[in-house]
Amino acid sequence: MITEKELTQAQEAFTKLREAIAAVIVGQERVVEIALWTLLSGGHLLVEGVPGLGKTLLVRTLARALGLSFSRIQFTPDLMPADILGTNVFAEDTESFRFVPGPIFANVVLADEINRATPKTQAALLEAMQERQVTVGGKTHPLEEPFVVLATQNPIEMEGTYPLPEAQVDRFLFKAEVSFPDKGELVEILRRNTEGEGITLPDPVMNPGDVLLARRVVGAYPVSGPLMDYAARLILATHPNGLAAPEAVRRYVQYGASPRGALALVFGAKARAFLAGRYHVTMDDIRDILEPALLHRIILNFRGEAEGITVKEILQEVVRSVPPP
Amino acid sequence: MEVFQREFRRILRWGRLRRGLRFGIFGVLAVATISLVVRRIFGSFPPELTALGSGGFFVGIALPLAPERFLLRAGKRLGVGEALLGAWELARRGETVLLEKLAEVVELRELRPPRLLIPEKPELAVMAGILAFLLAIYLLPPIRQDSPITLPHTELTSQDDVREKVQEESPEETRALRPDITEARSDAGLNALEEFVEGQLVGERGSPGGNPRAAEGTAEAPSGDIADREGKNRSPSGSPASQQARKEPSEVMGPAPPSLPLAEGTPPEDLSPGAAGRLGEAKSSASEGEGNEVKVFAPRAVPGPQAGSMAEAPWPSEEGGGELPPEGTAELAGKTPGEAPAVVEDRELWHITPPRATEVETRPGEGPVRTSALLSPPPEPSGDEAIPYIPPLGGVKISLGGRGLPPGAEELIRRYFLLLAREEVSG
Repeated sequence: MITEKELTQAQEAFTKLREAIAAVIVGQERVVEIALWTLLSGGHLLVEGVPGLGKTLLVRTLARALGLSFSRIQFTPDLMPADILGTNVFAEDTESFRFVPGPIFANVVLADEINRATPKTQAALLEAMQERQVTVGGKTHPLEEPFVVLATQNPIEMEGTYPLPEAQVDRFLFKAEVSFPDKGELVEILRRNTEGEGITLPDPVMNPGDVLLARRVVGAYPVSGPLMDYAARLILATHPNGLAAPEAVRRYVQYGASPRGALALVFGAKARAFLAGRYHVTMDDIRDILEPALLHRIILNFRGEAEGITVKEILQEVVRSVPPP
Repeated sequence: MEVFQREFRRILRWGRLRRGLRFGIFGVLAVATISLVVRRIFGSFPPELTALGSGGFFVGIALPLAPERFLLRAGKRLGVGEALLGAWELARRGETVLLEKLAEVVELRELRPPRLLIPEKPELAVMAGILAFLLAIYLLPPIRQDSPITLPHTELTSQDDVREKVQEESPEETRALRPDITEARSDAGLNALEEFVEGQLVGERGSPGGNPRAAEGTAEAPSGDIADREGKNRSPSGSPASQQARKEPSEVMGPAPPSLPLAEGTPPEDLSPGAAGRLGEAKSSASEGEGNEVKVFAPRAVPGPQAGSMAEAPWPSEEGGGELPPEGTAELAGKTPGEAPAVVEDRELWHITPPRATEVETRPGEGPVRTSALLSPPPEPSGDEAIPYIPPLGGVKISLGGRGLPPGAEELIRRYFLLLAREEVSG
């Protein structure tokens, strides 16, 4: 049971965090919002967009404002798993092997252009993201909480990219698509970057304890039975063999969302309600979360790919077809 | 926390009351609908059952309410959305701080649950639909029972009885109001036929010990199918009425109007093959006179085992149970007396005619309705073991109606066959 003080503290901390991020990032409110949901839900975020849209800046700003340890891994085709996780090196003084942690050992890890690395290296993140631990040389090393992986990727159509394996994609709680800024936002970006000293990262407004407290508060938010039932029905409707699947899903979807998708719906709905200043979850929360939670979890079949169907269209059809409680 | 629990209990009580009212209203409407339908069909409805509708109210109140689903709907009705459900969940978990905050935001204590009693739009629509249905049933004309027509048990023992019955069933006022009926009857020779039947009854009364053949005079009638079974087995009664009854129908009825297909004035080529054949046979039969003692039994190969059984069974004779075939059977088969029995396909006696429209009746809410009948042969029996074909009475009535019989002819025919039936029973 949470106290009023904890509730107030968590709310104030996140109000400051949003202000700090808004001072640096122009536009992209939706992406920032999804990033905060991810933080509050204890998940990981996959940010997709063409180069130059400020993905890396957003992650750096977030990490800095949160006051968390931050590390950046630039994924390249020759990157090896040991470069991420760390390795055992021989220490001459003690004449024994000593574990040297890799960049994964941080609160906020920016995996930049994650789909430029080979699948083997990408797979090195699997254990860290799900189990929040790393096993090297037979020894397991826990990761420090809060632990958030914010990965960016270029669209897979671009040169020199490797699609992420489904198992790894599923480990990202949400996926955010960074869109191109409109004219007003572009002008503001130009002004901030070219006038004065340019962009300066914000000072930390939170600490790891605040993040964990906020997660506890959000965890106390109630999601009643009918809303859980609604979320479950939405997930089941994404399966082509499901009884409640709409026609579009039956035609164009190869694999539907996993149970992790259902968790993402509920966690995200709670976080959204918290950030909206409410104390209860609504159906609108679940519907709004649906796209970032399931966008990367639904695999289209060949027919869907060939006919240019997008997952967004499928999800819109799912929302239409599933009646609310 | 206790305050919120009380609030929730209060809302749930209103919810049960709402459900009770809804069940009660729909129960009453359902019972009203059922009772109306039952009354239309069967004429009455047990009044005790009408109280069942109001029982829905108590059922609605007594049944347990699923709180989560109800609070979700109630929250929407009361304008607080899912907050009411969220508050319930917080109270259930004991999250006092969040519950207090939520109660402040949505003003949980200011909710007015009596507003839940106002019906929703879908409920109103359903109720309106049921009421419209009730109204439609109420305004519909009475449903006609298509029950089988049975012969009346009244014994027509005398001409007076027949006359009384005719008086009852076709009063003079009706004839006065419908001059066309009288005219049509006259055209068709029905008045004469009626006199003939009445005369037959009088003759029957005049020969008490005998076994009069009431229909013998129709043996050579144009519609000779019926009369040919009786042939010349006639009652020896010498009363004037009997003599009148013995007269040939053609004599009694006079020349038939040309509009009738079996009338003498109708050229055979204008008739259907069966009708033309019958007309010719009737003529030849009439020319041979009563003295013809042809005893040829000509079985008719009519479709249906009933016809077959009739053909195989011995025809009743004056002595009772003899093998005397009826006069006219051979004639009907198109053979002269003495010739070998021939088979006449009764199918020829039927001819398909286009549907004829009968009377037009106006039904409230539907406008004019015209009943039509398609005259066609009876269904063919299949196989050797086919069951006797017994046409449904309703179908017979429709067929007769479709043949454009003049008004009153049906009743006359019915009485004619009634006489025959009595003859069969008594003989």
